[in-house]
Amino acid sequence: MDRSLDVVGLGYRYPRGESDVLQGVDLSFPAGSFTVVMGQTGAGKSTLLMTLNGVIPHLKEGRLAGRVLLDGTDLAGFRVQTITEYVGLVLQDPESQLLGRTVAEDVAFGPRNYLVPRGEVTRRVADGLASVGLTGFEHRETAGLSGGEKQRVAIAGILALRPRVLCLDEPTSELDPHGRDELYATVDALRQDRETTIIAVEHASSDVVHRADHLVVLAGGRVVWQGRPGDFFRDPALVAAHGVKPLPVGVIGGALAAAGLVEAAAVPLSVDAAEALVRRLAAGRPLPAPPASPAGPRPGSEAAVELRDVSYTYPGGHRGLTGVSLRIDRGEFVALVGRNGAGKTTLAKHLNGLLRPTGGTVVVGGRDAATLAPWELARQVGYVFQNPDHQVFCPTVAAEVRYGLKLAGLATAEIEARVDEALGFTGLAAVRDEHPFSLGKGERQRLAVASILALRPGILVVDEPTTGQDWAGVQAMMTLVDRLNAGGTTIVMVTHDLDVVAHHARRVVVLGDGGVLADGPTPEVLGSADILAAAAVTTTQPAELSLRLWPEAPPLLDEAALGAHLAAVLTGVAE
Amino acid sequence: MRLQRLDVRVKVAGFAAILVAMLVVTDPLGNALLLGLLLGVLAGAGTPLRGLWAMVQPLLLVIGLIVVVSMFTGAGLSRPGSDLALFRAWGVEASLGGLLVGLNFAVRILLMVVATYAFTISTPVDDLLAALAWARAPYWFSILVTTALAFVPTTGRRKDLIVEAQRARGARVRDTGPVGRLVAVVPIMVPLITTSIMLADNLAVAMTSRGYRASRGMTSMRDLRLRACDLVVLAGVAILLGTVLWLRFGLGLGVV
Repeated sequence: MDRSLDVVGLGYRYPRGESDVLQGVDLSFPAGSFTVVMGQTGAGKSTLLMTLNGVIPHLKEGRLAGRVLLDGTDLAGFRVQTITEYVGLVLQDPESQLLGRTVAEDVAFGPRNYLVPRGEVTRRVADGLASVGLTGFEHRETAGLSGGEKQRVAIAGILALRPRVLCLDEPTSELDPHGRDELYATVDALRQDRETTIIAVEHASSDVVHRADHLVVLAGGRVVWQGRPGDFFRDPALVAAHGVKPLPVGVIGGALAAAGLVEAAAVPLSVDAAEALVRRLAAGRPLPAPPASPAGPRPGSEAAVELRDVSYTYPGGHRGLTGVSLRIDRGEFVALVGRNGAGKTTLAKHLNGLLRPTGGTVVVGGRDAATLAPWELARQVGYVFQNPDHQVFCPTVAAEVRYGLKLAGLATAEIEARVDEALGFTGLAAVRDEHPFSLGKGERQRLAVASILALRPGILVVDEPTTGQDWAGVQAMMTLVDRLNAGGTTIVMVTHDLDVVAHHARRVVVLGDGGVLADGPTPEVLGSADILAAAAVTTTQPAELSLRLWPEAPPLLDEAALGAHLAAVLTGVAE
Repeated sequence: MRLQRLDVRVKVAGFAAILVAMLVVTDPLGNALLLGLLLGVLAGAGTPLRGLWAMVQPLLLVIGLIVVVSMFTGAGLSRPGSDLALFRAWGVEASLGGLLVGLNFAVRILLMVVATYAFTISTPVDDLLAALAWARAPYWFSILVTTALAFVPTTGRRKDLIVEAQRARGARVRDTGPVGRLVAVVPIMVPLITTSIMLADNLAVAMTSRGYRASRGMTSMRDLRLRACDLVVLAGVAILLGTVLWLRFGLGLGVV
């Protein structure tokens, strides 16, 4: 029989779980293939990976049904430490997987457990680091590495065991675009030899659609779709039905297919293919440019915050900001973008006094922020951090929201009214007496927003609001932010996700090396390819396609609108 | 720093010798001599001693308290004259014997601080682990040590994030003065412990996934070899300890 990893009738229920996390899953992963597993949070993706290497049921109790077979051998009878020599698992959070002080020590941890002779351990460390592009990092301390580097060290640590199957559980969810590129370059290199089977859980469709051989979509613990990734992303209705983030060019192509211009199987999956298709359909005739995106309601011209020549130097001497001048008016929705270390978060922390400028002035609501204590600023500028787990300190959801209100010294009746209001607004009223850590990540993120909202700040800073969330979580979060903005709250959003920027922010500030590289309306900034390239930021697929077709016009950012426009003008051309 | 090149086992032996010598000598003057000798040797070996003050400074208040308290309570020594009253305060008598006991404790604490400081700044974790392996310490113990050390910076970063989140919600963090610092720690502990438990859960999965406990031990990656200079230092330590024991039990010196 062919070499493969197979699961047959797999089912699992956590101890005290009310329903099965996996139900009758049948899958086959041929040797050397690359499979991507997608699905909403709670669909059973991580559980599936943990059953493959035996962590379930050996480390986590519960009821397991069905079989996991490696080349036809049932793994049920083996110790997890035996299985891990064949099936390796890399987890989501890079911090909790590093077990050594230095990189070499960490990678050596696995083989040393199997009493591999010293010379061979050294060789495997060198090979493992070479496969992830970290040769020369042997003696670096793991604590000082970037997120992308940590995750690559974790992969090297698993590769040093020479497993036949490598399972990656959302390996990029904590990484910035640069780290994500590094990680997928590593996956590409591993694919060269066609020996290692790779199984990855991933939310970002654009990274995997061209790489994976096979896509598995899970929902409620069952396999609801499987096949070639292209076939899935060419069908926008199918993607939407399964709660997966659509591929923007797939949506544009889907509109052309719906208009009868192309076969469903010919829907493009890259900007290059989409451009070629549109030019072929236009057959040399000029295509009218889309009408400019309607400008959003103009906010009033009263300044909410103003930075005047703000500089910030970290205690170690590292320059965080270099002479930034920026004015944000009341009611604006501004996105701060730029690569890691560009100064996005440093700038945002100046708005609520978490950092004080080493040069220049920050003015909040007409007053010099230097004259206000951090707790006074906190009532005017709310700050929602990236990881909800560091923002939650109380035993119940309601107590969490009450925390800031009590500190503000409000009357009990007022506090309770505001708690009800904030929980209602964020859709958490039903879980008000639950423990915050019993909620899902998306709900915890909304709780972090609720606890800030209750303070009724006029300005809300949201730092990476969509990181690590599934598509439904991203949409719920951004709908919430949009509603707040519509109600008059000024929004400052720090993010790496340009698709989110394109659909929600009305103004974009591009930062690079602690300075402002560009500042303007979203379509204008996302259309400035050279500025974005200088900031190491990649624009969105619709913006890029739009610019290639109509270099002189501001890009159309919404894929549905661009698809509809193209379908309309091309059917006109076709007639 | 020449101390770094010394075999870790010699350093452990030296540390143990200081401990024994310090405990058999009850005369503060004797222990002060030991302290002077230790500082002289460290300075002679080129050990940077500037970091020492940062460790001693926060202890000064405690050391002072110990001396004062034992001055009033620590009488009853065998040597004649030890119950000699120095002065009276709040109706309690301060005795010479008590003062000597207190001073001895103070010098012992300083000795421990200096010895620990010298050991930690001159001994990389890898050396310590190699020594543990040489002493046939169970291998889970070595893992415990490395993992705990690896988590110090991680926990520190998490603490900073939690403090920032609390300040963003209007918490007035007073972290000045010993009491303020203690009060500021309490609200941080709950989220820090919760996230640490979640981290530990992930860590268990990560360790198992890398074959932890696959065999009864781990490949040793480092050899310890005694060199000539290690033997010289070891001999010196033995002679010194022998001398202290002879002075104490042979001649009856160093007791109060």
